[in-house]
Amino acid sequence: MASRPVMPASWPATSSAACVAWRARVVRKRGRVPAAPALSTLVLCALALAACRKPRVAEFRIGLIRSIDRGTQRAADEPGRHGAAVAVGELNAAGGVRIAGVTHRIVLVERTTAARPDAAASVARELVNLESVDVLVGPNTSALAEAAGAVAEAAGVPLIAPLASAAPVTEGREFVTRLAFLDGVQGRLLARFARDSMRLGRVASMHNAASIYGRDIVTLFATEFRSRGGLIVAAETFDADDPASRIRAIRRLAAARPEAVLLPNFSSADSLDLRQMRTLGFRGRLLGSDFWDAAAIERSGIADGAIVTANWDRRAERPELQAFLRAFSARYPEERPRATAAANYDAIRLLAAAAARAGTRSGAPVARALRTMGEYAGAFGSYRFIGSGDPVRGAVILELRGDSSRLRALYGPLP
Amino acid sequence: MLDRLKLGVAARLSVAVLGLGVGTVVLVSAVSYQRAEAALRDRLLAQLHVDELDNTSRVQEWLGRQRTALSVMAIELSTELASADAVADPLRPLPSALLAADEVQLIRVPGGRVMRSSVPASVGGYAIDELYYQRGREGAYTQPIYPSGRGARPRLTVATPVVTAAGVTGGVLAAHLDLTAMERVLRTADAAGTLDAYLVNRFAEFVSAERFGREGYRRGMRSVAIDSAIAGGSGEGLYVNYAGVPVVGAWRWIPELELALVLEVPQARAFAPARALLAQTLAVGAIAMLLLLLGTVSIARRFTRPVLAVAEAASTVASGDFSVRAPVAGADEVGRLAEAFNAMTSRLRGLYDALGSQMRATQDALEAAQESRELLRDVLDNASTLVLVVGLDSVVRLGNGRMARLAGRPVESLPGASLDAVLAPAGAGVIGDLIARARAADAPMAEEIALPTPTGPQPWQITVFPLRHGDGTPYATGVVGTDLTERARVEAERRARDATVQQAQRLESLGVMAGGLAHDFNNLLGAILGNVELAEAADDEPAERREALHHIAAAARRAAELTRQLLAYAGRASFRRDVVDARVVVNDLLPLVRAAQSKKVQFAVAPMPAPLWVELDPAQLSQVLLNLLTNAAEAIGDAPGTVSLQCTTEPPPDPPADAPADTRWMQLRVEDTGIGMSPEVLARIFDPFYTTKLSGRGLGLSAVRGIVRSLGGVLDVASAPGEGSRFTIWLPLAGTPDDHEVQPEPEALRTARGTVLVVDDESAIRRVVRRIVERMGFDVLEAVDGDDAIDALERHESRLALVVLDVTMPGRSGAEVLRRLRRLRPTLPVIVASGYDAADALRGEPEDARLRFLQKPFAARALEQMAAELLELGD
Repeated sequence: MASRPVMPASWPATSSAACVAWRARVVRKRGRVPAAPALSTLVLCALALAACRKPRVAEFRIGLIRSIDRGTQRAADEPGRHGAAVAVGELNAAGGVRIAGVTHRIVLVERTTAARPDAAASVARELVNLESVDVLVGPNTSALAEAAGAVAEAAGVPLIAPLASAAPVTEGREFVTRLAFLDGVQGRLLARFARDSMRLGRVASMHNAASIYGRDIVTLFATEFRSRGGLIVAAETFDADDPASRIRAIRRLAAARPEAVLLPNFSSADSLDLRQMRTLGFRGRLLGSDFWDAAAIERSGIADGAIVTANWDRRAERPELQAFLRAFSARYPEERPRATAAANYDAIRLLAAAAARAGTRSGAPVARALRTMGEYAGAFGSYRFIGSGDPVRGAVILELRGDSSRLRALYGPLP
Repeated sequence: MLDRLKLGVAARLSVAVLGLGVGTVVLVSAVSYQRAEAALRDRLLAQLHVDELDNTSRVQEWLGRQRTALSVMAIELSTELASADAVADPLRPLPSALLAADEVQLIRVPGGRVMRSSVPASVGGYAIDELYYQRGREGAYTQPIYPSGRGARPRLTVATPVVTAAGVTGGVLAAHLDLTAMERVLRTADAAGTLDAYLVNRFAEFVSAERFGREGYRRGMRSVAIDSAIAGGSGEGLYVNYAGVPVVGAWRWIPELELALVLEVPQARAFAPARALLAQTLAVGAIAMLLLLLGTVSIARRFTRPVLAVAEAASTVASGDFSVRAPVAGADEVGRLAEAFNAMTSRLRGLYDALGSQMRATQDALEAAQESRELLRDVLDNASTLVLVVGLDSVVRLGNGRMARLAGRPVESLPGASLDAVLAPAGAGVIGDLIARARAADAPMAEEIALPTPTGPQPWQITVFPLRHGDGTPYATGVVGTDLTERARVEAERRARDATVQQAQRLESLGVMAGGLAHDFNNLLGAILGNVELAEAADDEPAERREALHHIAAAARRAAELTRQLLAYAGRASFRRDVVDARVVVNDLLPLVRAAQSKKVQFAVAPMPAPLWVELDPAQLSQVLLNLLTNAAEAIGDAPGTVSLQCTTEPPPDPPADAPADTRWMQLRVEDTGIGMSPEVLARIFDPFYTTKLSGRGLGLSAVRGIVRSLGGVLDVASAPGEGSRFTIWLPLAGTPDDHEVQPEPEALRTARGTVLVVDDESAIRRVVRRIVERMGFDVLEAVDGDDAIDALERHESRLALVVLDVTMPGRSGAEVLRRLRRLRPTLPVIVASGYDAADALRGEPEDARLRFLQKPFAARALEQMAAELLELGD
């Protein structure tokens, strides 16, 4: 891994290629690459030699995978990017990260991905192979994180997918870590709250048939809810590419007359579904998962009174959180910090700390250092790393009110 | 550089030719290699370019076949999709025999749910987010290489809609193609297996399942080709590939598949023919060089041989052999060189020989000088004489062993030491004073000084003299010292030894003579007895009786003569010096020798007309003569021979240095015709106790030499085996003594008055003496022994005018009688008559003018004359 060629973004890439070219005896190029005259090749080689020898500032390169494909994700993307920028700015202002006694400047390399697994994997590949990043952060959704995580695992590059909550993202992997709780945890937590605190008896659910995230939350919620004496009156799915299937599912939901409906895949773009449900006579409350927070539904006002699980509550008194909020506001005064911002902020600080602890940029030691870090108090939460990619952390339950939310319940570290 | 290697001309020429040849061969080889490599490279690159195009079309053709197969399959499935059991039996695997695919899926539209799959685990999953599903619904679609699955493997998916008979798209048929199979297509053209063809995605990864994720390339591979290709370029060239191997390669980006095709041949293999050519060129070049070298060496040898011959001759000359000559081959430059060399050599030889002789002479002189210096050193160190040389700076230049002993320090430490340091500890500062005085006087100076020793002062004779250069300037001072005590002791020892030797030898001679003497005496006694009988018988004839008495007297005189000679020889009064006539001694001795030796030996004595006066003890001369004559006679032995004796006044040819210049000499030569002596014997004859005889003590000649030397004479001997021997002695002549001048015979005192006391225990003697003194007119008293004589002296003291006294008597000796007599009458004339030598007879007696010695036997006239002389002196 240490012998892997370094390919930074701008001019060093050119010089590195020239280093390779210098070693070649004769290279003839056709097509888009014009044949270079011998003299200019020589000059290039001389420059390349100088570049090869020029001592560069050590860098700790972090690849940030952003997803901007859909509206929901786009809403979360910008804050997430800014949260990462705040972390990098803070670390570099403090002199960078010291790895094995050498100060490394942190370089953030950003790539955006479409909301397709192959696209996320390609971006990860590009960052790893072509941009030579040391670690990866993102993407946020579990499906994309799983694909990107596959690349990270294959290439041996540590990756933190802060908000990916689906179990398969970290399952059986050495290099992939999350910062959120697992889907199973929030499904059970939500079921317990709905039954014990809200005294709900009849609940229906609807989720994207192709979404593992939605299916897992619904499944685990139903198990927990039934075990507490509740009744699942309907469990509908829809095909994302078949509007007819959504309508059919909504009709069936309404017909079952539930007291509340669980919508794990709900996004602000799906407000039409909700209006249809209301039209069909549904007066109950909505139940949601952490995806709602990430999808920034709370601003829309369409889901007032909805009860959702979340990884953090920005009104918490924890000093780390307050410090982050101050830093974020100082840098982006116009912007409201979101979960993605805090999550990326923590991810970058955690990776830097792990590299400093490992004393190397090499993937395996950094991943190991991260997983064995123990207690870590961050902005996005307080974690306890227990040797796996799934740290133990707490959760909150919020009630959405207009453009704000109200804390309904706060849970400590959850297994 | 070649000069420095000390090579021969031929070798240097060969090396030069070899160097040029090797350079040419290397140049030619390099150029041909370059040309061959360039040609190979161009051909290979062209070939690769063709291959690359060919392979690109192969891949596209292969892909086309997969698409076609998938379309065919989709048509087949369209009927199935319409039927109810297709949905009811979702796990039924898809037939994928026609497709080279890892997996073939039938995905339901809408919903994106995998209905059927060749991989059963995929059934039930959703492909709704996959591009191939989303695009495949709308028409045949090929999703270019992308990472997918849990392993993030590269995947190439072709998809096509499955349209039911109603014209509704009911599903998407997607096939994840087998990329290993695709890559295998590339290699079918390369039967030889020399070409490595592989596909790389835009993330610089192998796409083949066989190669993907290889250890070491988990984050992609880099090379000129890969970088260029994923940047969208294509080309070919020589470079180092991802594995660090120099290759000749070609690459091309296939945009529709988002794949890079790379073809590579290792340069080692590609340029093998060029290297083979290089090896051949070098081998042929080497052989050519070898031949060229052999030729060069041969030619160079032919040209350099005469020069080498001269060089070799020069080396021989350099090693010292000037006899060598360089062969003159022809009249060219080399020939002239050889001639000049030979001329030079002969001249050199002459010079060298001359130099050699000079050196030998110098060497000999040096050795001789060294030898003589060592000799001198040895002599100096072993001499009992002190030798010291002091420079004008008072630093010792030379000192011998005696000096060192005196100074009490090793002899080596003397040179360089200061004079005071050498002399002062020895208490010899007085020598330093002497040196100072001699220097001041600038003249030799000799002085007897006393040096302190533990046993008291020691007398030394020190001589100090300046040592001068040729021009007379002094450069040092020499000191020579003689230890006088030592010399005196040595001299005394030598004298004692000589005396011992002479005495012993004399006794030996006496023994020899005894036999001869007995014989002579017997003859004389026989003559006396016989004439006595004749005289008794001739009472009546007075003439006959007188003749008999005359013969008796003659025989008695001869006997007396014999006895006297014997006493003279054996007498104790040796070393007294009288002036004697040598002729008398010779004549006295000859009869003794004749009597002792064989009658066959003739003694020839040359006439001696004039007296030969020499100052010596006659006994010594007798001993010398006796030894020489006896030896001469014995050398002749029993054979007839002659011993000749000659006395002349011939001077010695080489007189001793200490003899006064006006010395006159007597030469005494004894020659024999005997057996002679070898040089070895001759060299030792003067050694004491060396003898060639059966009897004898070997003292004779050493005594002779000792006597001659003590007399200041010279001794010479010449002899050879079979030619006899010749001994010659030179003795200094003395002046003619006054008292030996012929004196008138004193008148006999016929008219004397008084009484003479005759003391002798032999009555015959008493009677003869009584008759003689009575004839002179004296009265006679006789005493028969010492007691009787003393009695007579006391009674008739006043009457006595003369006493004739024997020495050896029974009772009181003659000496006692003489002492008694001198107390009574200190001036009474006394004649001591003895058969012994005067020295024995008168030993211990004070000098007395009125005491005379008369040797027995004596003539009547001698007694009368002595008595007359004494009485004339008065009482």
